[in-house]
Amino acid sequence: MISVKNLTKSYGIQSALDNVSIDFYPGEITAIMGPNGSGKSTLLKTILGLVIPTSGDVLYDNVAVTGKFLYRKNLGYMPQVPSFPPALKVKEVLKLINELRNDYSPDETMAEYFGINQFIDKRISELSGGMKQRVSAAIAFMYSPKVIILDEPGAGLDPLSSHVLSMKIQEERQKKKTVILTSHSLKEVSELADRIIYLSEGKITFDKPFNEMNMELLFNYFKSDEAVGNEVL
Amino acid sequence: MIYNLSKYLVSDLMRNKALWLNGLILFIFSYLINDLSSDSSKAAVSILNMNLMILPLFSILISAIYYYSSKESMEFILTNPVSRFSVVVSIYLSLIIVLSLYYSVGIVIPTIIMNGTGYMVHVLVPGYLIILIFSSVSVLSSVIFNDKVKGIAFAIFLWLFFAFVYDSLLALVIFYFSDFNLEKILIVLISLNPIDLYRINTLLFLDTSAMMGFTSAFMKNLFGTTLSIISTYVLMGVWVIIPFIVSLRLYARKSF
Amino acid sequence: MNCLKNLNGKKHTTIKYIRFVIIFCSLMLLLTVPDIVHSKTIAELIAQLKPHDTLIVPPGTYSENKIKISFPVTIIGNDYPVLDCENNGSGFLVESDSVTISGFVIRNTGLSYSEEICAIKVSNSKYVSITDNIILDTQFGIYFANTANSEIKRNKLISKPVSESSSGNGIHFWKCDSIVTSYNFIQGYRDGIYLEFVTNSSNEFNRSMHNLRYGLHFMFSNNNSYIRNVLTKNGAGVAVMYTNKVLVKDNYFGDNWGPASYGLLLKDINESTVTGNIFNRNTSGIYMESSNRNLITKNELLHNGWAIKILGSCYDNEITQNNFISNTFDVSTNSRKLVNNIDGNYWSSYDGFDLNGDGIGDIPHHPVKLFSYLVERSPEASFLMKSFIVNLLDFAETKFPSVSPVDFIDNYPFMEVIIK
Repeated sequence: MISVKNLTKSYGIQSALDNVSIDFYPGEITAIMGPNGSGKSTLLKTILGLVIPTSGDVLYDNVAVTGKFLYRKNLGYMPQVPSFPPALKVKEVLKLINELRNDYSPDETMAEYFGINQFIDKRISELSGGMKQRVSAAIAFMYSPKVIILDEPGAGLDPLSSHVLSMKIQEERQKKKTVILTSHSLKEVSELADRIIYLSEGKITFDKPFNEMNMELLFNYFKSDEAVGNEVL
Repeated sequence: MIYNLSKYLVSDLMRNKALWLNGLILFIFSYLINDLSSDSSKAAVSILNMNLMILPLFSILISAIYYYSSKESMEFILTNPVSRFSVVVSIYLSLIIVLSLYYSVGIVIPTIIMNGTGYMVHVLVPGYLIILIFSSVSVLSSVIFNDKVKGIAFAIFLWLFFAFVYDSLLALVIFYFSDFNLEKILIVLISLNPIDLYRINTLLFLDTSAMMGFTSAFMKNLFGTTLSIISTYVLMGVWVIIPFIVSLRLYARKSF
Repeated sequence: MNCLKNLNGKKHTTIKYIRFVIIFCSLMLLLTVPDIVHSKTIAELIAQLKPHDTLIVPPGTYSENKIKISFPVTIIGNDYPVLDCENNGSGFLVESDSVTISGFVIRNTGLSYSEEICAIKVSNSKYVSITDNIILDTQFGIYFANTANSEIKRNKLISKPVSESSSGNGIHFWKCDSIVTSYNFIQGYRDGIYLEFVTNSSNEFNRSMHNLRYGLHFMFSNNNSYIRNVLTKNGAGVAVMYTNKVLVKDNYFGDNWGPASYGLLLKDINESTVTGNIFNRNTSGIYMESSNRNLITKNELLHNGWAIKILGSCYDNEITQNNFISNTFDVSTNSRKLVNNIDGNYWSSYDGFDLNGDGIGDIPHHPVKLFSYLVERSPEASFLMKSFIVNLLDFAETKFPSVSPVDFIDNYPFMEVIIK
């Protein structure tokens, strides 16, 4: 189980996260929502160890892991905009990740599942954004991680891949994995999420199971952020 | 882990065509210098001049550009069970391996083949240290500045500072305080700038040192030849290590 | 048994006796082998002579020293007899007019800090001729004191340089007049040729190299000429001081490279001519200090660190029709105002043009670079040697001269190398 406790991250006077505490449970898909700049990405990056919190801790199995790195073998991450060393071939990137995670053997079927075998000999620089997303998705699931973190998973994908990905996410829920995702898309959230955490200005506005959600309320929240509101509609 | 990562980063860097072009330009320059110089001592001075000018710039720019362009990839790599220490060390190692390779192919090997004399050692070997130093300094400035433009601008400023501004300041000091006995102070000041350190200590081994009159005699007396080499290399080593350690520390506490 | 013993004893003494005789005889033989060393020393041979005799010294090695020659005589070595002084002192000491010493090898004089030990020392004489000798490992080579109308020709002097304080000079003159020194080869002394208070003498076709200090060194020696000598690779080059009316012509000054080396150092030299010489690869080709009214013309100054350094204490020197080619710095000075004329030279660093095609550049040439001026002003500036900032400053200075001497200009720079 992964959780964050009293997490605060401030850049100067501005705080991106303000005393946030959340437990993420296995077998549950948690969607983190909120307008731009609400601290969603900072929260994910803090869990991944990319952001060092000003105070508070990330706990994995009730052990503080802030500043440590070995716990990340249990994490799978799919960033919003994936980026790999551009001159490497896709298969070399897979090999590199394999060497970095030499404790686990990869689930080779993932490459097939996300259809990346057809361009496995291409350079990263030759791939389209969607292709890179699929590579990134395959890597996120390849090492059967206990916690899967997805930043805007549907954003850059074509409809088919997007569907494949949601199938995979649901499959992971069945396997009692913890899934954390951020999303701007109400459709995606309503399809997948078991629990919704709404962040605003670094604070948790609400944290509710999806089936207890008043969708109208959620919609109203979105409307407060015009840009996001448009995307939702 | 560092080995695995560097292996891939090096092959990523090696496939960069712009870098090959840089290597080719170095090769053309050094070929022309070696070919056109009437004797190897003149070639040595010209190669030294080129190294003093181009190597720091080359190292600083390529390191900064590579750091920023691979920033997101490194973020992704960091979401794997890899320590930040390994990532920084791998970036730095890959950079110095590739830069040294281009330097070797572009300058060192043609020079050895065309003008291989004993004192060329003192021209060529510290060139590698210059690469180590300025990559290290550049990685540090990149780690400090999150903004790419600021980081690269600062790196270029550092180069300008060490290559031009510093010596201009020295010239002013010499000009305005020429009534005082400046030699010891100047030696200390020169030790603080790796480019000057390289320049002076290489000149001591070349014919040009005679033109430095009693200054070179003074330095030779002060250091003795072996000691001067050792102290130069130690000081240059400090220039490699300190920025690198600072960048390791800053990188470990950095939020992306 | 007893008898046998006696017999044995007798036989033993006989053998002993015979052995003794054999050894004795052979020893005697050894001692009576004819003396390969000459029966007479050179000094004894000289003692038998009358004035104006000629002595031919037979070949061989003579171990003696301090051979005094006090009357006119000609001594010629047949097939280079060796005078080995065995580190005990000078070779020949000439104290008479009209002496000739020729064809000897003189070696191993040893050294002394209290007196000058020489292969040949000539004092208070006239009409002395020292020719065709080979002088090896001596403190001084040939030493002329208070001597006139004499010659030193075709000698070869080679010594192992020790230190400036314990080495002497190859050919040393003190208070001499009308001496011809030519075709000598000098190597490994403190100064190759040294002249002090020498007048009306000529030095031609000598080669002086690898000496510890100067290849040629003179002071207070007026009206002498130095023609077609080769002076290379000496510790400090050539230094000439406190002298008027000297002719330095067609010599080669080369490879005098060191922190304090000069092709030709002129200190307090007046009304002299330096012409037709080649200055190649010297730290400073010509270095002038307190020297006035000299003519420096038709010289080739190539690949020197500084071709000419001319300090502010020099006046009215005429530097013209010289070729300055590939020197790091052509001219250097510590003064902003100079009253010397440097018109009409060729400068390989000149980047002007000649529109009217008369062979003379249309814009004046500023040969003094800012950096060399700075170094002259404050030597610490040499810390900046080969720094980019120096190139930058020099470039700016050539375009907008502000610091370097404004008067120090070649108004008529040649476009092409001047061929004599």
